[in-house]
Amino acid sequence: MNTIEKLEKWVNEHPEEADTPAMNVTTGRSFSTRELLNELKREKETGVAIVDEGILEAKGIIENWLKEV
Amino acid sequence: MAVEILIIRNKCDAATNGTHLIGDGLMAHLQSKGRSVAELSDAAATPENVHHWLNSTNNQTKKLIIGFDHGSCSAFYGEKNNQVVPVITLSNVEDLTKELHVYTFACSTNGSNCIGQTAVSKDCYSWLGYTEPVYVFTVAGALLNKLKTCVWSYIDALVDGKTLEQAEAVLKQAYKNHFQDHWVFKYNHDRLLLRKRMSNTKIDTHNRVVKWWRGRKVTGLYAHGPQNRNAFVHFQGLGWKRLWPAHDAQVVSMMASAAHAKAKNRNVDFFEDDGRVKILYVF
Repeated sequence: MNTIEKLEKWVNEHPEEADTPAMNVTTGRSFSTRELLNELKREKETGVAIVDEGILEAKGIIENWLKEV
Repeated sequence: MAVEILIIRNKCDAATNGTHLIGDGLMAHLQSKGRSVAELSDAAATPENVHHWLNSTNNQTKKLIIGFDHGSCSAFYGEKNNQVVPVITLSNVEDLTKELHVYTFACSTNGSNCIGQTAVSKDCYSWLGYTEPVYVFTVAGALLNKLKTCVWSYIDALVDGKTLEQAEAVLKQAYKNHFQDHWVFKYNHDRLLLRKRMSNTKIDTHNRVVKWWRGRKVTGLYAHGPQNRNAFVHFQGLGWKRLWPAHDAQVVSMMASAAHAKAKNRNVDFFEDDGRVKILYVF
């Protein structure tokens, strides 16, 4: 199961948590897990790589987390 | 009046709205456990107030600093005029945190060569913080309550008499218990770090209240005649310390010992409790 499939499964099982925004206290940047999932799907569908540093950082965090859940 | 625990939690931007929520109810919770607590919340979290409560001369905070706020490698922040401002910095950290324990839920204070490490290399007993930015939930709800439970677990363990290491283990386990609930728990867990001057210490055994002083000289004696058990000893480099006034015999014997030490220029070791001499050895 790849990152998108694993994340989609988690989002479907945790809809409330998936919609809760989390904020990086230093940057003030905030995003929900569902928003990140949508970004990953968009990247896959369009073939346009994500370049936003905040989203790339979040992608790395979530990939690391998905190894344990 | 001095307190055991000082809570600092500013609230002047979106991020600190979230960190501030984590501290809601903490002061009352700690007071219900018999602890004396002061809180610098929101506009009260100014550099002046932080200095007042933490400087080692006034000695108004005796055991533990809890900070929910912004942080960086070089500072822990409060606020002034609704703007984020540093309150504990590399230049004042030695005086403000000496002989205290520090727990911050804030970004990056405990990275390599950052303010937490500097504090512990000086005279701070311990600093638990994060090595990189932390994430917080900014909306009240179930996830924020779970994060609050994690953050409070370390504080509860310390005030319940656990060692630093035991409290750290409690905190890590609390985070692990919620790994399934959201990625924030694992992210923050992986970046927390406890720095400490020594092992197996507790906030009640190592603090600004109790301390052993060794190899000191007695340079003065004072007894206030009209009052029973009102006797002071002046120690070189430390100033006047009152002899523990609970028992006549204790005061008289310690005063006699101190007089002997002064007359013969002998070294003394003594145990200080809340600014008073409780045990005295003369060599």
